[in-house]
Amino acid sequence: MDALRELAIEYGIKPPDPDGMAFHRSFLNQIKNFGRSYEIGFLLEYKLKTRHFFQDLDLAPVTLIKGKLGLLPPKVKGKKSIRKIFAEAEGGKA
Amino acid sequence: MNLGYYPGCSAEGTGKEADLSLKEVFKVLDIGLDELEDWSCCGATSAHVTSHLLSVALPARNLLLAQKQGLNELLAPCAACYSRLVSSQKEMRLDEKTRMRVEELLEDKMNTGMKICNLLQVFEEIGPEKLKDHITADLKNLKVACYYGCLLVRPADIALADDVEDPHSMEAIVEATGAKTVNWNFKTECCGAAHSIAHTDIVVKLSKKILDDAIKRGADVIAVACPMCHSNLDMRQIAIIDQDKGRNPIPVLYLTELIGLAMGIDPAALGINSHYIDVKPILSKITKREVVCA
Amino acid sequence: MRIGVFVCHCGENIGRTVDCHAVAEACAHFPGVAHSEDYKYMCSDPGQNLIKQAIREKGLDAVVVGSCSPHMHEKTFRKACADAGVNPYMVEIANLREHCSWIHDDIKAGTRKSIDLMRFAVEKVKFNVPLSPIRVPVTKRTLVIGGGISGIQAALDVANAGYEVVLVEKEPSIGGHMSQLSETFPTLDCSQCILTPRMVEVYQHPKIKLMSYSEVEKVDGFIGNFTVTIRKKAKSIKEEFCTGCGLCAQKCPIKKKALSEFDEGLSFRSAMYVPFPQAVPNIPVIDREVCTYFKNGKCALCKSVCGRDAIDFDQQDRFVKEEVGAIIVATGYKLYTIDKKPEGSIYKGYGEYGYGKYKDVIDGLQFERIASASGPTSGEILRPSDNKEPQKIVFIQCVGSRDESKGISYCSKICCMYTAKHAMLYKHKVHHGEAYVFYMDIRSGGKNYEEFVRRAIEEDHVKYIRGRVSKIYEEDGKLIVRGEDTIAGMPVTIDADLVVLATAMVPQPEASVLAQTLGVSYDKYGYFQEVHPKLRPVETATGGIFLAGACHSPRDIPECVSMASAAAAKTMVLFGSDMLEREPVVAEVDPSTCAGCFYCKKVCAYNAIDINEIRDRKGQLQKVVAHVNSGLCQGCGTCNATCPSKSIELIGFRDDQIFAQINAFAEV
Repeated sequence: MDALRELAIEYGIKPPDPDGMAFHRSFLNQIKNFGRSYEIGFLLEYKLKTRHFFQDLDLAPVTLIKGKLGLLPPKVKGKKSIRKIFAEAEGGKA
Repeated sequence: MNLGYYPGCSAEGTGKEADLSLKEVFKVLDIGLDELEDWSCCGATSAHVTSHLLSVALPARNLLLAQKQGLNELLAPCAACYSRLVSSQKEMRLDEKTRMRVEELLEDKMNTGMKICNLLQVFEEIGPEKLKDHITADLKNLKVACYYGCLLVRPADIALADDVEDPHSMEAIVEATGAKTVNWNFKTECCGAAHSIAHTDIVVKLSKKILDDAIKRGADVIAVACPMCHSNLDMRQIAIIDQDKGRNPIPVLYLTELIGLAMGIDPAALGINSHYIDVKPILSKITKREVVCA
Repeated sequence: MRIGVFVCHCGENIGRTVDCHAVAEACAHFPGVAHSEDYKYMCSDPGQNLIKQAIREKGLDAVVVGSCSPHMHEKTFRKACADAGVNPYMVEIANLREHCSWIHDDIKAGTRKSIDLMRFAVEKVKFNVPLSPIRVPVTKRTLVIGGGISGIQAALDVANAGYEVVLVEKEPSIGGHMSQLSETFPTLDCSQCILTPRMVEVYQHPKIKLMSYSEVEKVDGFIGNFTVTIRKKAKSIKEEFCTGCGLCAQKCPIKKKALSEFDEGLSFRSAMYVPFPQAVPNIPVIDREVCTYFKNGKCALCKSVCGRDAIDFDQQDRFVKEEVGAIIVATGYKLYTIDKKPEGSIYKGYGEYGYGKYKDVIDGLQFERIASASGPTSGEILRPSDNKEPQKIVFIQCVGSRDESKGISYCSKICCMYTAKHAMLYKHKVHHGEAYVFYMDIRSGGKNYEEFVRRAIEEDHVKYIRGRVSKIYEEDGKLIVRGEDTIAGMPVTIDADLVVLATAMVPQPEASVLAQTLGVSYDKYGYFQEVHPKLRPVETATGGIFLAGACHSPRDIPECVSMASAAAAKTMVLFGSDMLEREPVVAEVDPSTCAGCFYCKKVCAYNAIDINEIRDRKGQLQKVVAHVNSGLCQGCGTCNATCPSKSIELIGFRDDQIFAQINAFAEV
């Protein structure tokens, strides 16, 4: 199944449901930039891509109070090797 | 005993209770955790769905770090991280070309011999007897539904569960704490996983079925061993309750939180107060064990 | 010696990469060759006539043919020479096809190599001696292993032709699985009604020696001359005195300790039991595992009520030896046990269906017992958990079959038919009931089979859904079946009262052990192997051993009966002559150099080496040497390779013959 999805991306096929793809791109961009997932960065990017600005806003206050949302981005030192992996994956054949 | 520890991305955010409770329990068990230095994301669902190379290389980076740190056993308490680490290692072990490509990228040699375990396997290794030695609370009035979700049993050759359709390894651990387990039908059904954000309605629908069956079978609480399962059954339970007003909420505990409660550890230290669905109602079912003097 | 050389073009097969004419020309110059020619098809009638003509005209006494593999036509050319008066063992074949033309492209090199191959054969034949075939007598008795419908049919056919049959069956009664069925497709005949007359015929037949509750322990010998050791298991009953009155079984107080094998675990049987009322022979058997007398010395009620003093607690397993000339294997099948993990698999077969976990998930044979008038519910369709009549039954086909991940990649052939039958039987008894069948394909290829399935769909309104079932779980006393309707493209959920699984047919678990005892090949599943799948389906590679029924592959009753009759016919071909001819290419010991180390005996796979004592006229032992039993020897040559003193040689491949070839090679 994953093979079909990867081929679809390679061929540039537009997915009928863009939210799924937006999720994956936003998630992976956080890893490319920070090495680990950065929830706030992810949410901003996802909402901008999908325009679902008000999705899950009701959960925001509770989540913040419970300390479940890391406000600052994570610090990973080996970002170079991670960027290299992404460059290879996106540049050459995935 | 010292164990390599790969926390996973959720350990710092939505799954922090998993991290807190695990550390507390291991302190009591006197098992050292060597956190993997400078660990990075395993890629989770998004990597393997979009790029094969990403899906193998991102976990491999962490395996290499563990190798360099001199670790020979790595605990990944998130079922997805566990699955990705094991799959990546297996692929590199079976396919020479993949391994060489990854080694080229990471500029080092992979020994593909790392022992990777999930929460269920590590507690199985620790053994119910050792757990029982540290139990100070009486959980016999607590009925627990053990939820495995997908990745603790599938794919069968990666998850290595005792039984793909009707596993009992979590029940064995829960029963060692003195709690009772219920026999239910949805223990390996999918909760919707990574669709939580992009397709919330699917997660709500699937998770509701799981919660319904657990409640029907008389469970007081659901035990999970994965932050994704927890999020979908706990955080998304709010939406489920919204749709079906008047239903009784059922709290969702991490296996390590349950063990921690049985060990008499302060619930706040375990992270129990950060759940979306209030856990306090079932705390009354846990009483102090009568200490019988020899 | 005057040697004739014949080079075959084999059409294009050899002629394309070997210049056969040039080869024949080259051979004409070899010393000892009196005639050399080539022809397009040597094995054909005109080709063979060329050989015969040359033999007569040129007075040839040995022949070398350059052709395809000896496996193909050695017999043909030997016979042609024999017809023309040359001993058939003065014929050598040089394989110019499989050993040369089929594996090389270069015509020059191929021709050179062929000339060499011909030369080696010519040099060898100079050392050949005329040989005569070995003749062995044939014991005209047949052993049939297995007393199901296949074994019964084979036994009756052979016995009715006038030959004696020994029929061995491991259960207390013959009849096999067919006796458990309620009705058979496509006619819906009552199974026992058509089977029991045959069973009685076997029992009463003067030429059939029936050994029930017995197993084959050891087989020695070879085609026409088998000695079989049979273990007659202790029934604890003296068969000669028992009248089959059944009083002992009736009075036996141990009624609920053992599950009935005949009812597939759906009911209990007593410790002293007859498997079913129509059992043949109708003699009970004591299950010593649960009988109180055998466990702690108490009871013995059966002994006190028996009016004929037929109970014998001290009876032990007995061994009998039977001499037979042919063996027919008819051990049948069993159903795949899906709640057990197959060996080497990480999956427990279909744990998602809940067989073994939920009482109302049953397999095909269990449904047969429920539907059968002699079954645990007297023929009423009632479900095992609460004995209530099911209003909805879901039948699932292909459980285990056609599934490589569960280790069974073949189709079990009968399930589509018996599932349709089960659904029809249910609808005939419960008119308002709903029957659903989940299928992948419908295989109904026999006579009237397709029409039978259509009847189920069109007349009995059985609902067929194309798709597989992913999970079955229990809720409120119902079985929730979650499957897929691939034609509608939607998931489907049915709350069934009973689920019947059409599980795969597999060979009996001890089949591979029996195969090793017999020296017969079997495949990875345990099915016995035939010699040729198309043209020789009832014979095995072991001479004199034939196959009948489901022990070979999944098949239905008419196919079993046909195959049984075919196996019987093969034994009768064997019995057609009093003596059997065997190839004389066997090993021979030179007792003067034999040191009696018996390394040859250790390596012989056919037990063909005997110990011979050489005594002088006073009877004093001089020497112990090895001796080859030419009836058993298969001519493999292993002993020849093992003997340290070179005292054992293979006739037709003696050292001087082989060395002649090697020397010819060394001269190249």
